[in-house]
Amino acid sequence: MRDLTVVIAFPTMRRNMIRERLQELTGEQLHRLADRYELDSPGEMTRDELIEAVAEAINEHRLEREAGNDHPVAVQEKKYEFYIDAVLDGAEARSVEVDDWDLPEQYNETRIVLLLRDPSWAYVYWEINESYLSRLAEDCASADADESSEEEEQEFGIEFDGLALRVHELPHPDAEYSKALYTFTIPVQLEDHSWYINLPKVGTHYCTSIVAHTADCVQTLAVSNVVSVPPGDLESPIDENPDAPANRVLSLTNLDRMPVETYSNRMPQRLISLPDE
Amino acid sequence: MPNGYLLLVMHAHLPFVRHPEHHWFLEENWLFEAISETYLPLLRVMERLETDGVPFRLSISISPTLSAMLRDELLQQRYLRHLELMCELADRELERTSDDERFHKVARMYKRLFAENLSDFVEKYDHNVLKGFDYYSKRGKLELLTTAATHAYLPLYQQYPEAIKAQVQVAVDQHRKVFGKPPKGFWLPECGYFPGLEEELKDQGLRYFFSASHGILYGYTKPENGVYKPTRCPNGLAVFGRDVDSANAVWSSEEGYPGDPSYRDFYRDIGFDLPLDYIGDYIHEDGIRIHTGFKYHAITDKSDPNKRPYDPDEAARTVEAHAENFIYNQKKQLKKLGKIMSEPPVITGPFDAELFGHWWFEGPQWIESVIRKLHAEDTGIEMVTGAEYLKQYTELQEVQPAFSSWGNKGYSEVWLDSSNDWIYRHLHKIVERMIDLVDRFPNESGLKRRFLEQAAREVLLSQASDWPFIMRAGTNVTYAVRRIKEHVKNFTTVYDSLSRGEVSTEWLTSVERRHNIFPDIDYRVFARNARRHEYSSQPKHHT
Repeated sequence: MRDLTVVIAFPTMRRNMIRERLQELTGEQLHRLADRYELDSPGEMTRDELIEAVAEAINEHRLEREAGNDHPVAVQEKKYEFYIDAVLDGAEARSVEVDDWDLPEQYNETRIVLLLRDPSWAYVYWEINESYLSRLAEDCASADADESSEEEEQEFGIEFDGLALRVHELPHPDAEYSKALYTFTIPVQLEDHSWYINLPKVGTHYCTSIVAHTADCVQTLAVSNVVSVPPGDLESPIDENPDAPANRVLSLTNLDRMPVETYSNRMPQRLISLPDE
Repeated sequence: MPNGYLLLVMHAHLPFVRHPEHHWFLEENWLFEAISETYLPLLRVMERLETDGVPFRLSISISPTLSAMLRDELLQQRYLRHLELMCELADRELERTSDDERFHKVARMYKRLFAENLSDFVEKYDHNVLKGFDYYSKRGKLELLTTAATHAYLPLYQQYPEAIKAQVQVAVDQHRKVFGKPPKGFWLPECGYFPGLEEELKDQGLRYFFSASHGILYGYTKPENGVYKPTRCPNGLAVFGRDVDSANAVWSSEEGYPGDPSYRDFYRDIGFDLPLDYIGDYIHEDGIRIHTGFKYHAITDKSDPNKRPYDPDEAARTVEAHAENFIYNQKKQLKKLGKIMSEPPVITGPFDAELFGHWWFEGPQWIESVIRKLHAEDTGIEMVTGAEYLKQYTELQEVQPAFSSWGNKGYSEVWLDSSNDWIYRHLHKIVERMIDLVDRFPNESGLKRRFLEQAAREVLLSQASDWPFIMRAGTNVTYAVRRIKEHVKNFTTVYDSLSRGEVSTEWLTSVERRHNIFPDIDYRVFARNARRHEYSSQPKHHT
């Protein structure tokens, strides 16, 4: 047999190949990767040091991600991973253009959409019509100069520049947000367009609204769809009645080996209230 | 009556990747690897079982994007070119390894594998491997299921019943067209379920679907039989919940069978190992090293940096032992369950089809061995498909399943995190605009209709769960981003053109040629519907 095989462990080989590919990149590309992997002080490193640090960061990032993967996710990743360069191309991803066309930054409308990620977190994105936003920014600028900004700081607990997300817990999914059982507020900036919200309770329903707080009033700009948070756990604990047939079957199910986070109702977080509209 | 049933379901899916504008396209290899390592080997397993008179029941969900690619002439020709290249490499590998019997033995295995693939692909299936699956389906040994049209992760579109309906209806229509009859079962992409989804499935004539374990176990009523008997949604649709233990045994490379040191290692591949002057013709033409499928090492102990040569005979012995172990454990579990349950329990094992062969090289052999042992030994276990089971057992407990998936921690974090969350504002917007287009152009024909049909295709293609998945995985991100942008751009071009009343047939023809999936799509599948309210009122609280 022609001894062409380089007998080294794949992780080592993979790191070496990544280093080789990094050697081919320009300084700008390397720095973009360094930013992506949040390396400290890349500007103070020599090129070799930077390559080494980026290669190490890529590897650590991969190991960390893979450690959190469930089996189906781990196997699916293998379907798409078939060349080493694929690991590096993420640095350029967001700047890729299709025939000089890029995704619109705005759709020139005002809306807010809520997506449930898991029983504990939801993702919300919003957009505010650009012309309205300009007027709002002007209002806020004048409000900042006004004495009322001190009151706002007291109300929100932090400095506030005009916009807030309100998270409404609803008694049922068809309820109006004005009938919320409970509402809490997250101050956001004009330049924010999305947020991850830590949901205080499971087994309930939420919607969000985006509100503008001007010098004179709180104005609701848009209200989202409703999401229903699942229970995130068994309907009742097994040990409540271990001899019941359903619980005897469940005890054979090896629930502790089910790769699922369980949730229970917790004390609400971010309890900041806005005054009534 | 058996002591219990075994329901093995494999989900075969790849995103629609077809690039006629390039003479060679890297990501098309996803399909080629899957045909070579999974689909053809699985068909050979079924063929051997049938030849030997061994009864079996399997279920396979074939995604509409995959079935479209498997039937596509361009991709069939490209796969043939790929196979011929692999056969040539197999010959060169026989020569290269001739001095070392340990590696030569493996090279002979690859020579056989690719020769069989070539012969089966060309002669047996006339370039279309779907014919093989269809054959076993018609023989009653294989139940074919479908999944969402482009494998959208449905919980993240639940506020758009029109999008859910389009994903389900287009899938069912395509299945009927390809296989001549409608599917009874539906594979939820990534097992992603949200309450209310069953309404769309029922509307399309589906009878059951599969769920992650906790979709049932953490449902709004405690299931009396856990996941060992299907339950029914309030609208009557049956749900089979995934078994936890058998899943871990087969999926896990840590604690399960695929990680055994004697099995073939996935990572070591001559595409990475050998010098470019030897392997250059068989990898990417720009010199990018890729997996070739020629792997010569066993997994070996993780602490050992030097991997042992792979020994197919040793691996085959391990396959037998693992099949034995799997059946032993199922028998034990069924015996315990049988003492509590009034009907024979059913163990539901849903898997990614590409797990078998592509990731776990010996996986198809393991399936074959399990089936042969079930037949040869008095195990009391009967294989069953979902439709067969539901024909026999009609009394099911009503349980409203809960939002769930089989992704990390059981919910949506794989498809919704900081790497991919930015796509949804665009993907949702084009759904809204597509609904708007149907409102404005409810009954078009001719050129305008072609534009609307292409718009519908672009919306569907943009929704593939693969794109956010790949962005999170951090590999091939550029390609996934490019695809999202391309579909949004194409849709927007149609939207703007129709709004302005100006259309370019040249542009349309070019996009139709490239994205030629769902040729018979009716764009009105996105017609506004009133299900919004039904979805929102679905969940019931724990008492």
